[in-house]
Amino acid sequence: MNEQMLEILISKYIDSEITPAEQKMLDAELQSNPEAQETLKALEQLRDQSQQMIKEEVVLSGAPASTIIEQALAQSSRPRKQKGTPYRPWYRDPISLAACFILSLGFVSVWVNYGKPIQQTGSNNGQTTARPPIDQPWPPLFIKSAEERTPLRQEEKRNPDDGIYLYYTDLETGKVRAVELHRKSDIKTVTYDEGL
Amino acid sequence: MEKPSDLKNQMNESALACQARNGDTDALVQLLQNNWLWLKGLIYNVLKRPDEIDDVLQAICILAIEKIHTLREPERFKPWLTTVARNAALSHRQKMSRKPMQLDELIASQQPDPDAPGALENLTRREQMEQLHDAIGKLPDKYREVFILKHIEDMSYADIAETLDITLTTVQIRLVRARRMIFNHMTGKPTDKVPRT
Repeated sequence: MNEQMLEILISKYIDSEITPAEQKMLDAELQSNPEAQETLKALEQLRDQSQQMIKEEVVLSGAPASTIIEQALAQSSRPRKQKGTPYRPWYRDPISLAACFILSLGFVSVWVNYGKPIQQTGSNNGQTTARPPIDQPWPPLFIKSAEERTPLRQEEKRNPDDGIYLYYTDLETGKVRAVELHRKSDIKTVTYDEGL
Repeated sequence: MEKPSDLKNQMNESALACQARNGDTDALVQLLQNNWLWLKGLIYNVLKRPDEIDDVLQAICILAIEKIHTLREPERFKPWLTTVARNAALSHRQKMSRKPMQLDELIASQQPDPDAPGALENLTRREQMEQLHDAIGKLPDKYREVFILKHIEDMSYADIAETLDITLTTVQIRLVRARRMIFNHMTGKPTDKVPRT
């Protein structure tokens, strides 16, 4: 065994990092080589002295860890935070982001449609028909005969908060429409059948 | 190969580092206390003066508290702390090198402390220690670093490798060479040219 190999094995031995196979090799060398025994003794002594010196000079000197850490915590500019939910700025929070997105959509929608007349749609017999805007004149409507009025109208009359439903027939399409007449309704253009 | 206990410790350390990164101060304090000794050794390696270790340690603690959120990989807390510690110690050394040493400080640093226990009685031992101190001080930085970490708290090769972010073989080789250099210095043998590894 050469000198370098021997030093490596001795070094691993005194650091308790030697494997069983290496230990066997070292034992064999130590038995046959007195110089190896001397090197081992010298390196063991060096290890002990080094540990002693470093312990005296570094480990045992200075203030305890807890004192220095406490002082550092007191001096630190970063706010102390104990266990709990970690701080997260609003723009990193998915819930806040979603809320912002929805609010933005709402604002954009209001801004785009501001001042435009409201387009209404209604369905009659399963067919969707476009209604004219409220501020524009409606097509001439005719109130149907009293016999065709439903009992619903009579029931709603009892509740002053409910609207009054009137049934009209569109002359052009022939479709029947129920119109809810609120007390503050803006619908003004209504043509009545004189026969009623 | 890593022992199961080492693996468990590393997992605990990673978990603590994760908590510390998320703002848990108790976890960070625990981590600093667990790594205190080798941190001291690392600073001592740079400064070579034990009386200034505490100042640098405090600076490192402040940096760790303020910068822990920059730790990307919690499982690599030790290398991260090593970088922080090295930079702080080097910065302190640079600052101190600009400041001229007072004469009384110089005299005090070169004279043995008469109040130290057994200072006069163990003169031979003290001389040996001074010789050893001198030999360790003359080691190249990278060899001294490994040597101090090994002897300060008997760290395993794997721990040293992880802390310094080097391979296990490099740790082993540096330790052998450091011992050889110290041994040669103490016995008066000439030391060969320092290899690059």
